[in-house]
Amino acid sequence: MNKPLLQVEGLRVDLDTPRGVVHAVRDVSFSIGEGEVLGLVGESGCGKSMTAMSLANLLPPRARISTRHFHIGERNLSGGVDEAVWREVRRHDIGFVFQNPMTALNPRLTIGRQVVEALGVGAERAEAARLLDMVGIPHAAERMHQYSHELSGGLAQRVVIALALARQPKLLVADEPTTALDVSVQAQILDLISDLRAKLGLSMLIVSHDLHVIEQRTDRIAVMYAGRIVETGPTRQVLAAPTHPYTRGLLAATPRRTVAERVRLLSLDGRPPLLYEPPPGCAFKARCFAATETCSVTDPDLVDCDGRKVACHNAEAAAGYVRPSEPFQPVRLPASGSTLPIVSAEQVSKRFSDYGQSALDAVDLKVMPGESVGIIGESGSGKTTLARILMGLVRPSAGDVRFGGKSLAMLRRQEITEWRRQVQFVFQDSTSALDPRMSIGASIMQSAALVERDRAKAARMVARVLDEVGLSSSLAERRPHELSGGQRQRVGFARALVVDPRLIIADEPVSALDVSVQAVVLNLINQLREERGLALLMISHDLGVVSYVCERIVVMRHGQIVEAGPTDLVLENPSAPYTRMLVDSIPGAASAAIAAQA
Amino acid sequence: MNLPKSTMRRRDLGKVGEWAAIAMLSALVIGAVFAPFVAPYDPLAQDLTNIMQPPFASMAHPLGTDFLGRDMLSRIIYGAQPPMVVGAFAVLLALVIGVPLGIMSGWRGGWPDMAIGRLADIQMSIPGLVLALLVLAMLGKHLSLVVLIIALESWPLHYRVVRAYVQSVRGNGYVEAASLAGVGPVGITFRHLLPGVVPLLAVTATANVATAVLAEAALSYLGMGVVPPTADWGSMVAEGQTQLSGAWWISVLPGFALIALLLSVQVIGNAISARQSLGGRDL
Repeated sequence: MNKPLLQVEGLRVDLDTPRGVVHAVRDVSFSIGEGEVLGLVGESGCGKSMTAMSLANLLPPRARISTRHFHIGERNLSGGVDEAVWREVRRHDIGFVFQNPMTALNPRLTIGRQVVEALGVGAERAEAARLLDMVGIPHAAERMHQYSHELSGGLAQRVVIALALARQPKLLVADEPTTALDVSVQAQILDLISDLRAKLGLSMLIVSHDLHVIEQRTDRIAVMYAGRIVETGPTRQVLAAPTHPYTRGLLAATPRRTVAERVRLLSLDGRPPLLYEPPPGCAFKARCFAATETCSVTDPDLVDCDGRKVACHNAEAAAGYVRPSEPFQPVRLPASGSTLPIVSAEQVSKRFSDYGQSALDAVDLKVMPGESVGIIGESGSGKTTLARILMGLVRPSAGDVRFGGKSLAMLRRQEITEWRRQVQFVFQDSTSALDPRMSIGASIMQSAALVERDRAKAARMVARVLDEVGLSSSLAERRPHELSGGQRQRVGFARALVVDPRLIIADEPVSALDVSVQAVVLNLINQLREERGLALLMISHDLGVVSYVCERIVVMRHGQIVEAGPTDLVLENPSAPYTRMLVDSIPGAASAAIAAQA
Repeated sequence: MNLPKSTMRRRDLGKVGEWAAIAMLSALVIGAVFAPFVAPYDPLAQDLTNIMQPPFASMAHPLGTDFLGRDMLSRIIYGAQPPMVVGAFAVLLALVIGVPLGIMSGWRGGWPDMAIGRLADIQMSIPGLVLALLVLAMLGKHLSLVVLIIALESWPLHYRVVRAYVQSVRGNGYVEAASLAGVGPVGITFRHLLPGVVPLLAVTATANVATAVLAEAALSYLGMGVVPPTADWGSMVAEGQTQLSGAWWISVLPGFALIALLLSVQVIGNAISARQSLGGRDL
């Protein structure tokens, strides 16, 4: 191996909080060689960002960092060093790329000024233009005068990358560099990063929750759980045959992006422990299928195992593991014989202001009883507006929405109630979807009041749906913030189910969730459809998610439907150029061959 | 869970402060309400043989007497009545005007929001004390007029806070979910909007109590609110100011009472706000 550029041993990060000290990063050691790319993965709250940010002491003031050994290039940062030294590190050694380019750029300064500032005292504007040109910004010299809000998300992220590279750092740290971007732009940004790495010989640390990104773009991988690295090694080797039960859990819960690879997702239920006082023994044992008695006594060390390092007592026994491969089809319910759609949009258009582009332009959509339809599109494509129009939350500017074949405007009072009952909505953000001051039982009860006036009976219905979505009915007394994100989203479904609907419209129901929890919710959706014969209209930007639950897919762009048809057909054989582009730009698409070897 | 010692101590200190404030406010309120039973003397009874006795000099007049020999303790107890009446009723009235308007403005938006917003702006641009002096001079010195003017002066405060809150939660899923479940605007207001407004109102209302009490004291000090010989903290401060070098207590003691009232109200307001809010998870 090359001489390591970055070497960290025994990194610890402790955070002082009002509730006590959080041990966010616990004894983490890793190194990155010259020109090497290390990927850091794990669920939210596992310490990946903390680890990345601590490399330049970019942590909140209440955080305390300590290391046994810490070198970047020739610079020795072991033990504690002055803020002045950290400033030098940030200035010369490490460049940072953040998740959201819009908040990483100052909205009040032109991008030219920001790049010149990053280049340092005495920098020329021509130099800044050259740098912007290098990160692939067209007409860079002219764009120097623009502000960040005049740029698209992809261009803004390129500017952030330019800022990170201004002082020619040796190491680039990218914390979820593509998470906030549309799928088609994600691939371009990742390509740019790979290009720059080759051209400039950069070492990189990429932090991501997206295994597809890591799989494609990194040489080595480090999987973090509860503030520790639990498995690390060459990326392809680790992901092809994961050893640690947590790595496997993550992989088995991640939807494949292509139809051919689609397998049943295995849920990885539960959540990482709080790190006030890490539990004795292995932190993962509560969620582990292979846990033994030893696991609750001693925390396993990170030891060599089969060409990689693993922190697991049962690694030997688990080594012969293969990926789950049970092929899977979205639930297909027998045709009901009815030809009447539950809801339909006919030539629906929407303009939010008198001038400007229309959000929706003459869109037709039908949802038949028992079918599952996915709407795919990038931000601004009008997919959410369409769903909200079908719910009656937004009024269309033109066109007609029909419930049971009847125009909404013609519905009688009783029919409106029936529409409200039969068509239910699940929100994207499970946090704002539940009143923070009400117990979740009361929230569900409020929906139940639509069909049941008697409080005692309604309470029994609430307990029943909570059980159905896999939550203990004792949770009914809890407030939303006492629940995890996955639990809250299940409450969202329970609230929809309590009135026994025929159709659920779900707006990005899993996009805010970790993959582990995402799998739980997706499996729940499939199970509910099977048991209740529910129809589903799901909005998502994630093709993998849509292909896992939807039989039919509708692709939207600029307020219009560009392609519609059976999911597998559309994804394997897209006819519209835009769909083709979406399918090709999936980060995982190119790695299909690698996965097939496993 | 083991809490570090420093935070424990800090929290306990806060608790002690809250209880002290509650005790202080209750004492002041009970004293004012039951003044005839609590006060040792008639606040207007003069005793010209015993004028300007300093506090703590005799058991007969623990807080001394003023320049007419009136018992200071009794006058302070009775003198609490006007500021408290004004503080409580002016703020109640301001809330009754501001909160519904704020909810309507934030919820509906559009022209009602514009109209009410402009009205609030106009209201804020009129100097309250000057308006009060004008009205009181023209219509006579009634306590109810003081209440009305202070309420009109302060409703925009509550209006603005409530409007901003309602605007920010209006688009939240839980509000939409409630309306999808057939809950009407009144139901949504009482179930989903008002509970979140309470911690904000606890802060604005207590701040408002402070300004109202101060305004009443200022008006009385200027001779336009409560007029002598009726006991009132504001006018007592005014009465005593000529004697400051000889008998400081005539002005200073009612001033202290004023400070005690305002401080305890503020501390209690903050405590209510902290208890009712969800620690950053409010919206």
